[in-house]
Amino acid sequence: MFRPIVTAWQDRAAWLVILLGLVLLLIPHRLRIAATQPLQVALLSPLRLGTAVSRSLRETRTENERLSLLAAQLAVENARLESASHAAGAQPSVGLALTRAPVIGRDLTTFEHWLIISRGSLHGVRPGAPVITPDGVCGKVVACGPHQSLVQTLLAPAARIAVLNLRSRVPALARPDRAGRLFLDYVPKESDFKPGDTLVTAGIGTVFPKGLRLGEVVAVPDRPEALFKPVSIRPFADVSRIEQVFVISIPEAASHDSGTGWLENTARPEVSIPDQPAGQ
Amino acid sequence: MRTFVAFILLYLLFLIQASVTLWWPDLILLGLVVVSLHENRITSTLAGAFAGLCLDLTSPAFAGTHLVTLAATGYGVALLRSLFYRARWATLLFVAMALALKWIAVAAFGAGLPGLPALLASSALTLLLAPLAELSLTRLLYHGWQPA
Repeated sequence: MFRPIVTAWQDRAAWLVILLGLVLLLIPHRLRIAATQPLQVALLSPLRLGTAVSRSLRETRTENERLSLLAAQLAVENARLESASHAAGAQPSVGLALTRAPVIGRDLTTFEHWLIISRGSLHGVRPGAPVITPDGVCGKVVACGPHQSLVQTLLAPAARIAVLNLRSRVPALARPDRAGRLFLDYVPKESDFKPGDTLVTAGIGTVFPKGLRLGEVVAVPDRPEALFKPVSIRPFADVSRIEQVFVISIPEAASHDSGTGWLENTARPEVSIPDQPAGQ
Repeated sequence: MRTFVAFILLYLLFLIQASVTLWWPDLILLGLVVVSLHENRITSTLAGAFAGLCLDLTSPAFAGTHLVTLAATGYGVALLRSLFYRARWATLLFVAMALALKWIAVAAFGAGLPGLPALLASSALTLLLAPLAELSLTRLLYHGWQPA
């Protein structure tokens, strides 16, 4: 178990290092600081770099959230201005408020038809409220719990949205197809739709205010035998990848003044939402 | 090469140690003891001096206490390991001795001891982690090597 301690040059060198350390202790403090400052900077540079990167990421995330909210507010403001500029008379000012809501759940089959957001009636969210992203319309709230709400996206089979061609001002009704896109129902063959046209909400239902960006026309195939013009639309909002949305709160008086609610599906589905966050 | 890797490992442990609170185990001390169990005396002393210098540089008032203490710890462990050759409990003993030496030196010459709860918690965690640290670092750095 015991082995003799052999004194070697290693011992002398080790003692020399320790003695040098002791000598360092005797050097005046100011000189010590000055002599070791470059070494300190070099040794701690990885830590400083990590801290700077972490802070930068945090600031970028905060800035991103702020800009997302700003973009959504601008989208709503754009919709209001668009509506006011094309109305025959002066449009009454509608106070719209945005509620930011992270997406905490999706339907497990398509990931695109239903979303669960972590804002509910306690946050002022009501069934029927439009849900948007900075890119465009996402869907609408169809049921509310105290802390969560169920959002029917524009790609859900039951979704119907009245739209307006921003260029030709032709209204139409959009509904989803099975390819994850929208197409327009019952568009007369002589209607003016071209690929690249931007479609916005028409504002003639009770859900969406006028002028919210919805999508762009990607194809208008020429089918002489068809009764109506087939128009295919790519939604601006990528529903399958949305992480946060904005719920538009519209005052009660303003949301029921158009009287043409039959165009948009406003029926509440028979669903209930648990009070606790649901699994993904 | 393994000596170089050992120094890199001590530096990484220092970076981790510098980012956490006083309640954490003394990772540098554990790393140094394990390295000193396998390296020769001069390498162990230099490794201790390097780790101590890193620790001293992070304190606002550079004192040099850790440099001397950890250099002595590295030398002492490398020297004493031959007395307790292959005795598994030796690691715990070395870590306990190194902790005592470090706290005494810091109290006497350094910036002062941390609060008693933090000191006790950190020391207890260090001792608890000692066998695991020896096992893992030995496998990581010295797998296939026998103690000198």
